[in-house]
Amino acid sequence: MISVTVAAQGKKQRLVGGHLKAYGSGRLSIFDLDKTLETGKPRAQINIWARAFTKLFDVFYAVLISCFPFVFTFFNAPSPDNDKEGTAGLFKKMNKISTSVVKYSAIQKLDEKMLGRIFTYLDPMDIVCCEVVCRKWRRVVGSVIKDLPKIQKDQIRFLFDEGELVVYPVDEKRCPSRYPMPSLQHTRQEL
Amino acid sequence: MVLITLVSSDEQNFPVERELLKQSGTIETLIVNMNLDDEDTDAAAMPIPLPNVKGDVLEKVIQWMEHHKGDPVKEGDNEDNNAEIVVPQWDDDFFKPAMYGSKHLELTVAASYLDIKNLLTLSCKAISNTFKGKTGPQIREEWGVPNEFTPEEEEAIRKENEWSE
Repeated sequence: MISVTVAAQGKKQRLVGGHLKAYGSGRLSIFDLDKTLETGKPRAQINIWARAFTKLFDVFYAVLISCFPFVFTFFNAPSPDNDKEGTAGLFKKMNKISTSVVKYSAIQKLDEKMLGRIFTYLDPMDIVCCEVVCRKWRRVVGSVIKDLPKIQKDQIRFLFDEGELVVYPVDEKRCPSRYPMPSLQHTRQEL
Repeated sequence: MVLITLVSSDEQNFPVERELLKQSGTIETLIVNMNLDDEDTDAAAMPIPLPNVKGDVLEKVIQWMEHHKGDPVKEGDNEDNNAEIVVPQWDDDFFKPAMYGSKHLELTVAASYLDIKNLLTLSCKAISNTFKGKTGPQIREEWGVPNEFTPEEEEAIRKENEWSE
């Protein structure tokens, strides 16, 4: 498989070519991430009140559940094996309900360094999926992208001065193969 | 056999073999620096407080250390082959019951604090295995992470990662 090197430099944010490993030089800044991020912002600000309200409601609901657990468990008909567990089972259930309501997750408590460490154990394709999970994960992936495994593909380099096209294979030990470019006159005749 | 007492954050005492504690960089350094290995000092009389580790987590850590007694400690971080590390069956069974909950994550944080390299590597790998081959929404659902992206942002991210599909 062959692809042209698309990597960017000089930007603090994550770059488009971040998941690809580039060989050789000739890097080109082609994409400005700042612009795309800004388009999402105004909408987020409007939503902040709606979000705060739902959060508040969730917390209120969770408090209600922890104060009157029996009212809530009454509706979920308990299965026979749950009865055996007694209070332990009840607490487990309560915990399950309140976590699903408050939308609180244990993994959100992990610090960014640890999260970054976990990401280094993943394939590039899985890292892309992790990025979509939430803002924090996305930020963490962006900050440790240098240390994460990269997708490797053959890279093409155009050397216009030398009139040459060089293909760098993924395996760095193998010799890059060179192909001569047709001359301008020749290309004109062809056209 | 020399026993050294570890004290968890909730004041529980755990007498542990000196030999086991070699796996923990933090405790090993402490023992060496405090000369607890000397014949003259009474090691049992010098409990080591671990204010960052809860009792139930410490119990798990000790359980893990007992099983991995005498394992070679990996030197340094060789980041290159992280994707190829395989979690052994025993460790997989050990981590599984607490997976997707705060217990396993506390164990991982404790491993990091106590500087037990093998445990940290394996438990991080076990967590990362739960992300493998899943899409973002699937991971979100399994770990109970709320979706905080607006549809526009989601679209932008999808566009950016189009090449991976």
